[in-house]
Amino acid sequence: MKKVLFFVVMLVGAVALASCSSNEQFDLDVETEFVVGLEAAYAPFNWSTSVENEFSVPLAGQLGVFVDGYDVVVSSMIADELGLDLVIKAIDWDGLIPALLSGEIDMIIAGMSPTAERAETVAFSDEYFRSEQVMVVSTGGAYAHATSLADFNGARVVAQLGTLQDDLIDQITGVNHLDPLDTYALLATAVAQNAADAFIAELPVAQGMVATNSNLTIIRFTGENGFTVSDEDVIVSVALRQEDVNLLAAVNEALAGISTDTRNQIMAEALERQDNAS
Amino acid sequence: MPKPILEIQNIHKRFGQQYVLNGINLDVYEKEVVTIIGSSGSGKTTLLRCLNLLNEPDDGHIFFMGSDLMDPKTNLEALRMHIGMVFQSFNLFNQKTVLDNCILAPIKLLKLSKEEAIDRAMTFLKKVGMQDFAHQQASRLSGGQKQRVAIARALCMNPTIMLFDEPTSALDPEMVGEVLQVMKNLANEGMTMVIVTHEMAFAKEVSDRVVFMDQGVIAEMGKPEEILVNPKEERTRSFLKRYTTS
Amino acid sequence: MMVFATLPPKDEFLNTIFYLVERYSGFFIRGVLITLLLSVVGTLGGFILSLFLTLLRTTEVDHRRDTWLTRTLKRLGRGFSVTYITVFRGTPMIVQAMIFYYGISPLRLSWWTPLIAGLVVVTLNTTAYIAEVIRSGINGVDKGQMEAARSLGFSRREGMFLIVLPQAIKNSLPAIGNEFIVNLKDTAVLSVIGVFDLFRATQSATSSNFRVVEGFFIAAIIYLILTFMTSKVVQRLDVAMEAGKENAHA
Repeated sequence: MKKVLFFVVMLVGAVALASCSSNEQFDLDVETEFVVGLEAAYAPFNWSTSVENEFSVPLAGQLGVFVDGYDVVVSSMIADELGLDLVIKAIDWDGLIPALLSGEIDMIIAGMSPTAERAETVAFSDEYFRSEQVMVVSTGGAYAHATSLADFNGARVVAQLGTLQDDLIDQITGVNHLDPLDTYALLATAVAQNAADAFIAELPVAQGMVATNSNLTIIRFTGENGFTVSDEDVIVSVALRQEDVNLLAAVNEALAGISTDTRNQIMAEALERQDNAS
Repeated sequence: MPKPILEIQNIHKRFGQQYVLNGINLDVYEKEVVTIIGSSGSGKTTLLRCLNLLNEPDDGHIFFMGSDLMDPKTNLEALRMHIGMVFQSFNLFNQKTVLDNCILAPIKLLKLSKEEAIDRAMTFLKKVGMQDFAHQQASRLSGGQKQRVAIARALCMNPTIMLFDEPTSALDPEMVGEVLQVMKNLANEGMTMVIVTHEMAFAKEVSDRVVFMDQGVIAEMGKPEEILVNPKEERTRSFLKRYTTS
Repeated sequence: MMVFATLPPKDEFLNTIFYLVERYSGFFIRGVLITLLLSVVGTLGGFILSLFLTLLRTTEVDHRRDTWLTRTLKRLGRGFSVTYITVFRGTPMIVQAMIFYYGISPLRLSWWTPLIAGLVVVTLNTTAYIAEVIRSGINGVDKGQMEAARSLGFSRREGMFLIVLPQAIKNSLPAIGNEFIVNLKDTAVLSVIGVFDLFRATQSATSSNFRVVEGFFIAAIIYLILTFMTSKVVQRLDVAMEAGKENAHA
């Protein structure tokens, strides 16, 4: 008798909870579109372009402005799987999570890493790209032939504001940790103009930069020479509101259908499409 | 004795702690020309500006056409339409033409049609000899011309009484005459006028009464021959000494 | 036919500039148009609103004749006007933009886009500055003008509207023209809330090639052209004003 009662109470509770949350969460059956937020300034993950191609998506509210990049392609694939229309909005990095929480956008697909800190306020999907953290230095500079973190003792290193890369800087012994900058374009300029010695970026991003700026060089680390990173530092995931349980499940299902080979290919193609130097 | 048009009863005015008007009593009758003389600081300009309440006395009464200007319920703007004022610095509306200066108030306040207002304006401009300048911009005129237009502008409202605040003090000497002539003509036509001036000869010729003010009170008042030629008060005499004309 | 098919190498400054101009001409044109829109609407709208604000600011309480209600309303109006001007002149427009845009966003109004928010902010901001300009313009009008108006029988309000304000506005035109030029440049801060002005257009144009210096060099040239042309017009206005003043003292 007690067991039955307990089960009934649990069932009622679960139904109540489920109906509570499903009242608030993104309803896949009702909605016809979902809104993705990204920076549009983080090539090769996402950037702005004026030239339309088979991968680009128009930017919401801006005539003649399109976005392209790995994140855009993945967004389109998710949209296909979910059977929903895709709307993309460009929002500054710091404004992405507030925009998600306020309901202005439904997902963040912006090369964002699922750090524990962010996971306190948002939910993250499975990874949709895995890479490594590298450093970018000036080609003719003192650090062009560095092979380990130890080589950067005394170097001026900088990262983007609000990213995990900014935290990684402190793993370098004796580093001169510069104040973070707003965008990756500014990081590249800082190193190119010798206002900094190096910045930290994910490999694809670094590759994109070096392709457009021959005066920048990538320093990759092997084995123990590089950063001590946890999984969450080298993968990127889709961020959603914590109550959008159904949507999260649907996104994960869609991502599961994109193999690692496909992902690498998409990234390589994005790097090609990016504004590359001759 | 007919009732006075303007009854000034015991008005006082303070600027800060200083009493500029210290109990003024004065009646002005229809068709009268009253001239107020006195040294600067005597309060004569302040008194004149109280007559249309540009300056507001601290107490007392000013009865005009039966209404007390000091009463908060009185419609000041309506009464001011019957009081014309001519300023020492002319105060023409500089960006407008001479004609526009004269027709603005009649059109907006007296609700005249444009034709009626222009008709009236031209009549008065003719009277002051400025009809040929009707379409000139006011700022381009000489001082004497401006003052004559100012008089015409005030006349266009068909006022019951005209107030003049040192109308020729800011003019070059050669232009004083043309303005005084206009004022003389006005007086001869029977306009009620209160004039603050330093032009003693003019005052003698045109006034029915001369008021001498000193330190915020009316020191002496009477016919021009009495005051200007043979004043009773010592202070009147010493004031006039400075203005002895040959 | 594009002159440069691909991005020139990093050390070719001039070629990079030509490339960027060609490839992202759409961005730059759009950015310029939005910057102009913000400046024109901001200055014009600010001018109109500032007239209301200045009139509130310069109302005088008639201690004898105003009822208690009138006096209180006048004082409230004056207080509001002074506070408004102090606040909007005392805080940076970028801060105002953040507060307005992110403060009203939660209301989920479909028409509250970054552009609308930007237009609102630049207008409210400019209002405060022009209000001060017009106030000093009014103070610069000879007191005798109002006295003449009132002695003819006009109320203070009529005197203000018919005689004083037109002169004050005329005298303020060069300063208002300068406000426009200031807005051309300062609206760049609205890019932080996502307005696609010239600054953000430049950011977007360099978002995948990272040629920041070259990109913003182009922006600087464009800003220079805009401000230079407007300055010339304002200069002409200044000369016309001075000529007018000289006539007045003939």
